[in-house]
Amino acid sequence: MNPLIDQKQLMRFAESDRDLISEMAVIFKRSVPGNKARLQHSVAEADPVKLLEISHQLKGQLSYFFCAPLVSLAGELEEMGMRGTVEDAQQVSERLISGLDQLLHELSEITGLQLDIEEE
Amino acid sequence: MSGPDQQSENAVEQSTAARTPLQGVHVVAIDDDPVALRALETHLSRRGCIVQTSGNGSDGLELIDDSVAVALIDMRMPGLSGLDCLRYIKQYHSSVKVIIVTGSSDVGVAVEAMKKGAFQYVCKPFIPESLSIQVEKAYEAWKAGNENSGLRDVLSMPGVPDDLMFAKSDPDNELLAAVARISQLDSTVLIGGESGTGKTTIARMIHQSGPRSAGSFIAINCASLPRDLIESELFGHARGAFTGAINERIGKAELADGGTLFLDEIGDLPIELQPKLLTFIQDRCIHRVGCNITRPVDVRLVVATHRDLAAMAGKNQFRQDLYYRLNVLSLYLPPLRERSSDLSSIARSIIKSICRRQKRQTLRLSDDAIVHLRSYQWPGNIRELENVLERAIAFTDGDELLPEDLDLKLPPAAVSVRESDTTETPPAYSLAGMTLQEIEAQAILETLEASQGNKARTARMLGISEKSIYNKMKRLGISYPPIRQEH
Repeated sequence: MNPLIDQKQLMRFAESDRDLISEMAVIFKRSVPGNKARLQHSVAEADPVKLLEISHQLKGQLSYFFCAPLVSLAGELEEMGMRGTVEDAQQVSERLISGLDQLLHELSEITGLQLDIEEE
Repeated sequence: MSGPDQQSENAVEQSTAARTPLQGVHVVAIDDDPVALRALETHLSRRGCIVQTSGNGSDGLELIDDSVAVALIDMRMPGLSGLDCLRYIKQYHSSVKVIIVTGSSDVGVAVEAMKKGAFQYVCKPFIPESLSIQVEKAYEAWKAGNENSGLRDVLSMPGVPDDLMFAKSDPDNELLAAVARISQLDSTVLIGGESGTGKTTIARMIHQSGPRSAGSFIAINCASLPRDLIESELFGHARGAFTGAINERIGKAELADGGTLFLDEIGDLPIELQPKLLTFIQDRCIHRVGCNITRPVDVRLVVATHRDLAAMAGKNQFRQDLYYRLNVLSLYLPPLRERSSDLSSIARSIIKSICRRQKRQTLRLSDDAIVHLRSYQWPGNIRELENVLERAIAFTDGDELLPEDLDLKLPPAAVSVRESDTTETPPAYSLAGMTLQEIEAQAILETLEASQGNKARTARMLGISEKSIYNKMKRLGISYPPIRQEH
């Protein structure tokens, strides 16, 4: 599987400050369960406004980890929300949610923190 | 986590060390994305900014006041949007520069925000270096706006500037005119005067109203730095130049390149460093400590001291050749006790400024309070007056400051009749033991005497209206034979 994160860009963004990357990763991990739930909810409800809100927020957040494939998926969902056509959102959102897990795994490897363990 | 890459860390430190222009700049960041917020905070703090953050618009706006130079605001947020925040800031804190942080899909909206008064926009994920440059530009614009507004006040005399300690008196007008003239030249300026008389303010004014205003104004207080650090602070140092010099460092002289270098308390510059300063003034080149490379630096030098440099030079406590190099254009700021005829208008100006800053109605200064202020010698000068008034305003609920609100520490020696600007010889008696009414009556009588009974002039000298002088004379039972003015 190809890595999602462009580590070179991430390090450049953080100005080689690994502590900053760790802090960002921990903050991100905290937001993942809620964001997943909001995304799933908006798709299940076929609510384009909620889909637009959450996908826009995810797109912004993911951009700071330089994971272009996930930013692109979030962008697709954002566009669906903007257009009000949410029929194809289910499949894209599933790919995005699965991508969030992979992102946490990659962040764990980069930071040495255990971010990819599901919290009960 | 693996150990930090030392080389990379050094690179970070070196690259950020050169960005001191943002040192102490107050920035507020508002973004509903906590990851973005953390990154913004880290990068800006690293560059010396004082950063406050908020995850939503309404809490974020609570952080905004006129001390904030730059607000970084996310465009799309639940609740108050970035545009809502921008609208509020433009209305209530128009000096604050707003930079919109936006996703690439919102660029059109960001441009719209700029039309509505945003200073700039940056796209997510921001590039730290570019963000730093944008914040620097915004800060420069904020600073120029604030400084120029003060300067406009000064130069549009006879209006009294609110934020400066100048009155409407002729000496102040002369001083400001001298500042305006001097600012257009490029010669070294020596500002003399006791502590607290406003030497730094004058130095800033010289910089701001001169041709170097686009450059930096860099100040060093020679008295506050350890002796062994002054040279490195002034000229910089090479990596490894001395114990603790982990990285190369640019000195203040280089940072001021193209602008003004202000050396406060120059009389406290250690004598062993004075030849180096002299060489710098003569050659306009610096050598960083531990480095042989000669670097040309183009600065205007403004120095200030509360000491008598001429006397020090006479006693070989200050190099004579340096003194002559510094004393090209000189200004002297008189102590507050020598400006008692201006004291009331200076105090009113300060009160107005403090009240505006604290967003409360401007308090009046009672006539008795003015008499009380004039009875004090003000060893700390305007700085002390500002402190006394700020404390008085903080503890006053009414709309007028009374003598009892003013916490003046009057030592017995200080309670003597002031040396009036208008009288040749100070009266020999003491005010101690007199009532405020008696002091007030005495002040009016003496001023009437000094102004040959001219009540309009007396009122001006006492800093009160002509109507007040008639009222007070009536109330205090003062009569004075009117003297016909000769034309």
